[in-house]
Amino acid sequence: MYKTIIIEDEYRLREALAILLEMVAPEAVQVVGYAENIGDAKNLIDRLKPDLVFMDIMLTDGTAFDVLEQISYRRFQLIFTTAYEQHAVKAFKYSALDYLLKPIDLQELEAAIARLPLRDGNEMVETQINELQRNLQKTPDRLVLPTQEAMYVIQLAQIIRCETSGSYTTFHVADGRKIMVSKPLKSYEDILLLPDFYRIHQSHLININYIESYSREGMIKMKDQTAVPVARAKKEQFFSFMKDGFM
Amino acid sequence: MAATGYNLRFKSADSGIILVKKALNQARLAKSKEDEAICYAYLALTYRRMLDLKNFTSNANAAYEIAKSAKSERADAHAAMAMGLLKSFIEDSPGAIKYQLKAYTVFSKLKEYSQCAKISADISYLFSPAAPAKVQKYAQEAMDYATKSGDAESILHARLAMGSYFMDKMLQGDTKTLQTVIAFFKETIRLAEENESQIVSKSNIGVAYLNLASLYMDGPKPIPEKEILTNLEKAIQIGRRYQLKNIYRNSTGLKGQYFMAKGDYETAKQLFEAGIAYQQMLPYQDNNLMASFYDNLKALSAKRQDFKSYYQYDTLFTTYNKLRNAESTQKMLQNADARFESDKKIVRIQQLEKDNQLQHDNKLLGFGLSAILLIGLVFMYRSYYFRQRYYQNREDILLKEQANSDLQLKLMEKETLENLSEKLSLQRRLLASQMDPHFIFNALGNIQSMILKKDTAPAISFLGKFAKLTRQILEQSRMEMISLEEEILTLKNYITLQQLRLNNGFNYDIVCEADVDPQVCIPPLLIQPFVENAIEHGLKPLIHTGEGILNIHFSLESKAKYLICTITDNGIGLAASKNRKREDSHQSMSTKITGERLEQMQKANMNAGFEITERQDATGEKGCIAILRIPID
Repeated sequence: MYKTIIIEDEYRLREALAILLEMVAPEAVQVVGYAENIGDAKNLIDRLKPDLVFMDIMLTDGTAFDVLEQISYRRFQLIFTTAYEQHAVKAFKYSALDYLLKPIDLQELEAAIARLPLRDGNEMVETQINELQRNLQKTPDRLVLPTQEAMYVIQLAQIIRCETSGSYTTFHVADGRKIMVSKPLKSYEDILLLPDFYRIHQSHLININYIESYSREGMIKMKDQTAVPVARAKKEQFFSFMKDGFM
Repeated sequence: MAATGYNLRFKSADSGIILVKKALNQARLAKSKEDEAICYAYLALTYRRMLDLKNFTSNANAAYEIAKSAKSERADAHAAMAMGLLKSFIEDSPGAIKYQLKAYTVFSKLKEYSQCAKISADISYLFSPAAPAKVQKYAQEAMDYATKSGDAESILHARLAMGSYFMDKMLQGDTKTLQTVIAFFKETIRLAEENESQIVSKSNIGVAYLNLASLYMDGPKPIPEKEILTNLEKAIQIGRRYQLKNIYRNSTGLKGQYFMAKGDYETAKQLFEAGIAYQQMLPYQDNNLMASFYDNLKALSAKRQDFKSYYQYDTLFTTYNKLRNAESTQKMLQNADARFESDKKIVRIQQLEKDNQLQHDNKLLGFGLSAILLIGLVFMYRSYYFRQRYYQNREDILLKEQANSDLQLKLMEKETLENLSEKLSLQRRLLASQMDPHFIFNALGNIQSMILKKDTAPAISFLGKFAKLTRQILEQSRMEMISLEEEILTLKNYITLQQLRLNNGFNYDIVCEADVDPQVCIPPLLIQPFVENAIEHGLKPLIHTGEGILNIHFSLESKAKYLICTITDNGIGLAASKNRKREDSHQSMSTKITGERLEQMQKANMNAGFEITERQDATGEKGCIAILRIPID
């Protein structure tokens, strides 16, 4: 049972989330408190020591990040909620933090709850929050990869390529590590972007700085000596990109 | 040292390059521009041999640039030679001839006979087949210089050029010379065999064997079978020993075709298959070679009327042909690179078009004359320049592709411009500034909540108002002017929605003074951003008290012809709101756009503008006041 707190400054949206949680996970989640401003949120978290916190980004008197800075208890899992904060959403993606868009979709909420047991572990959330704060301040240059055993923080420049099989993505890192994450490649497509990253194939996304050579048949040899195919449909575009650069 | 490195090119290109690069460094240290240019020229030639067009181009250009400043004839000559070969490599015949003639003149001045012989032979090839007289002249000069130099390699080179001229002549129907030509080649081969150790370019020996064999095949019946087979066998040996792809391919292919013509299909088939097996043994793939072998096998099956194997070979041929075409795409990219570096690209393109036309005509003629065997032979005759010929067809496609990409570029430019103007269009920005995404999604969230709680009546009412507001804003953002009455209706709708959302945590009042005509026209959606500001930043933190009040007041300044709109709230005030350091990009954008719009209006009416201040009136109330001065006609 997850002892849960909802931090949300609009009363109707608070109620909606509570009802939705009751519908989706009556057994797993128990809502024990609400807060709508920074001070209340801080006190509530430190006092009730929740397992799970839903946190709206925009609060009446500040933002969710103000709350995260001030709390002393941090051993809970965190799911952000937002109506429309593109900047923050991008930072969440780099930090591998979960978020829900308002109005909240039933299936998405269900999926987020289902992911919770995969992410137990206190230092892990701590790592993610630290990364988030970093990513909000500057252009993200690292990516958090959540796995069963740990949260890996990887420099974007160290990623050689990503390969997907089904709903898993394997990251090949320059130091030789291979890190498998239970997320589809698609979820990284909009944060691993040009000019460094290129989606050359349904199942492959590569860091073009690690290309060693590419052949006429459409095979790319990476600096780690692995070979990756370019999809037929992307060949022309890719070759002209390699020739002329980003247009 | 550079020359030694250059001579190593046939044995081991890599070590040759290293040696020349060392020489280059020494030349740099010795500050000898002359040697530097020559080293670059040697590097260019070595890269040419490796078919590395990119490095070939850059080194040839470097040689030429440095030679300009070196003021040395030797440097000039070497650089011109490198450029000439580059031009010929990328099929710029006029350019090639220009540079080669320059190199030729200088080298003959310098009395470097072996160089003269080679260049003269190359010039002779360049003029073929368009100007037979010149072909002959330069081939003859090449022979003369070669004899003078006494260098076996140059002699072979020159003799091959001459031989090529003879064969050109024969192709045009001059059969009388056949015996002379055969004798000439026999002599050439004799000389080459005698001095084999001195000849670095082994492929030239192979070419000589091949030429002789094909001459025999083409000659009068009965053909001297033994001679043909001996020569082909020798060519095959050389091809294998030195891994010369061209020689091996052409000799095996020619041998196969010989047996095919003779009617010995089985032997021919074995030969073609042996060629394929040999190629598959090699560590690299040569799709071109594989395709041509399978093409031959195809022709063979057609002759034997063995349609089943014809089909099999055809499948394989198609596969390799496709691969070969993919290769040519890559080559085209490279050629395009080189092309952009070429200074006279327009002239060259025109020339190439002519060449291509010629090439096409030749081909059609060939098809007309007689089937596959002859075409095969025509290719063989050109074995030395086979590779270059092979590129010509691609130029056509390349030109088309370039035209296409130019067109695409133009289209893209156009699109970018259109996008830009669209982005800048005030209408779009206005709409964006009014429809705060945050507001939209929160409103939808509120509706969701009411549905979940089964509060049907409020949900329907909220949804109706939200739809109405969306429609109003969509419509008004397209208009130049709207009446004050309409603007007030939109404002009321918006404020009611905010009240519902914030649990009726504030009240509002809109007052119009009696002398203000409700039908007066004003630009649309000017006031809403200020109202939004007052609610989100001033009143929202106070909704629990339920004492928030929003006042909107319209009055007229009739003399100056403008409308005064005052928006007053009793919220937390400007300073406190700023302290909350909420970054709201939407808010700043919509206020900025309103500011810009009022500034525009200032051009027509000096008094247009707005100001936002902290409330400091006698009542002691906190909050904030926004005053807008909106011009009216």
